[in-house]
Amino acid sequence: MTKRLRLRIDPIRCTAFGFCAELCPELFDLDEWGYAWLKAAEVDAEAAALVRQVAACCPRRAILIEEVPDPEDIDQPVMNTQIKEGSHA
Amino acid sequence: MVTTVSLHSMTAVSEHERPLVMPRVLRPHLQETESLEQYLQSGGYTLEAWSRSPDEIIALITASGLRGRSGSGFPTGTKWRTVALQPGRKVVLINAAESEPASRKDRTLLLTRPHLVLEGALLAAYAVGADTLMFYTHDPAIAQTADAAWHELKQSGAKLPTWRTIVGPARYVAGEASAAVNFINGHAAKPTSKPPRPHERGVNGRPTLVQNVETFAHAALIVRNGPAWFRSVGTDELPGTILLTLNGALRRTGVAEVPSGVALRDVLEMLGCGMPHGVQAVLPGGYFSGWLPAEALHHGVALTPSSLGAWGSDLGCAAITVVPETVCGLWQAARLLRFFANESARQCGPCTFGTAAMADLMERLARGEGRSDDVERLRRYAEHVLPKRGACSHLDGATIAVRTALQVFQDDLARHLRYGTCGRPLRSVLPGLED
Repeated sequence: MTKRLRLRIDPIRCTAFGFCAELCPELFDLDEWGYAWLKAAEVDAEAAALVRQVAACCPRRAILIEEVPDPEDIDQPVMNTQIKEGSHA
Repeated sequence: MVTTVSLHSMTAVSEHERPLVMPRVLRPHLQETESLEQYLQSGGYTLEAWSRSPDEIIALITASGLRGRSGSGFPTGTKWRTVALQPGRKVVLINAAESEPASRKDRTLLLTRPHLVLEGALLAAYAVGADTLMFYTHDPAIAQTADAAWHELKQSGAKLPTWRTIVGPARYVAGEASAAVNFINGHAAKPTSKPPRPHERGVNGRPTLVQNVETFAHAALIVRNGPAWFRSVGTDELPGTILLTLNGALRRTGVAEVPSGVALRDVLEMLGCGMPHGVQAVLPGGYFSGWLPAEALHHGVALTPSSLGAWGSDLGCAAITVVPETVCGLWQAARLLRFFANESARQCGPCTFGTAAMADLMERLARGEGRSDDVERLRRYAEHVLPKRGACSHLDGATIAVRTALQVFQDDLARHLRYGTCGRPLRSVLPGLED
């Protein structure tokens, strides 16, 4: 069974081509400077094919897709998601 | 014992950075750099502390409840354990790039007590399995003091890991953990997208523990005196003491050490010796933690993340700046946003354009040239368009500055929209951001 997918846009890679919003306006929008932002952070497994297609069309490869792990798959807490972004230490 | 102290660092300590109170990591009346001999006399490098196993050290740090003192407040014990569990040889990086203009606590601590910081970092290196210690700063004087202390330690015959000091650029984002790692790896000192984080792949691709100067100093004392001693002051949420930097419209400014949880008003009145020009607003946690209304002081707001958080602000790096009633508050907010725009690494589009757009709008409002829909645009940027859209927290800092400013300077804003001015001069009192 396919899992839910978590979407992220790598803000450093995105240089406002805007293909994503053109191809899939249901999930992607552009801010007034043309940079992509997500309307939803997660999508159901049914949308997987579409999302992967859009990601492949991004000239900057800025759309990152990861599978959402089932809660029972996690043995121990991983620090990745806990450390605050961009702390100065 | 050879003591090498540069004249520069000595004057910096005695003239500008004289600590106000100093029960724990700071030392009272210490006017110059503490030598290794003095440090040993004060209880440094005890046999008991150094006879513990790596696991025991990490357990002590975890039990103490110590949190990182750079502004993010991540539990230090958890961080050390995560790095220790990574495979291979690790690196410990002492982050002394205190690039926040309102903060001088790490500088004061390093220039007076470098050996306390080094012992903490050495304990961390031993606990996580690191064979390399790196010291990253933007200030050559600090690098010199750290180097001198290290050589003192080396001459005493101690068996030490590899040591390297790196002087990076004096830019705000250059102090961010991944920016520091990037610079050491030979790239520009700019943050990267995460993951991978430094603890997974850091300096030379090796797992790297990046920790702030003050955090190491507390860690050394925790291993020496135990977690119960550490927790005997402060709050459960944030045990121990915190280093503050006092700035702005106070009779006395400087660096002080206080237990967490003390009332901000007491700090300003007793340590800052009062606010002769009244208080309009306060930046309690440096430039990235948002504005606090003066009213919060009268409601007994305390120096803890939750108490300040209830007012929409945060403790951050505890660099406190008081804005008096005698200057335009909106102008302070505008100068702060211009700082975020100027210091953007210009890597992420939303940060590059968003910080500049918010600074332009706030400046226009402060100058009395704003329209009422400018306020709505600012609010939309800060609440909906820009949050969480940068690779590091720089953009989020700017959005917090806008959201809190719109609240705190609400009346001011109305006056500026109606009359074009609040009648007070457009003069910045923010350290490093003077007009």
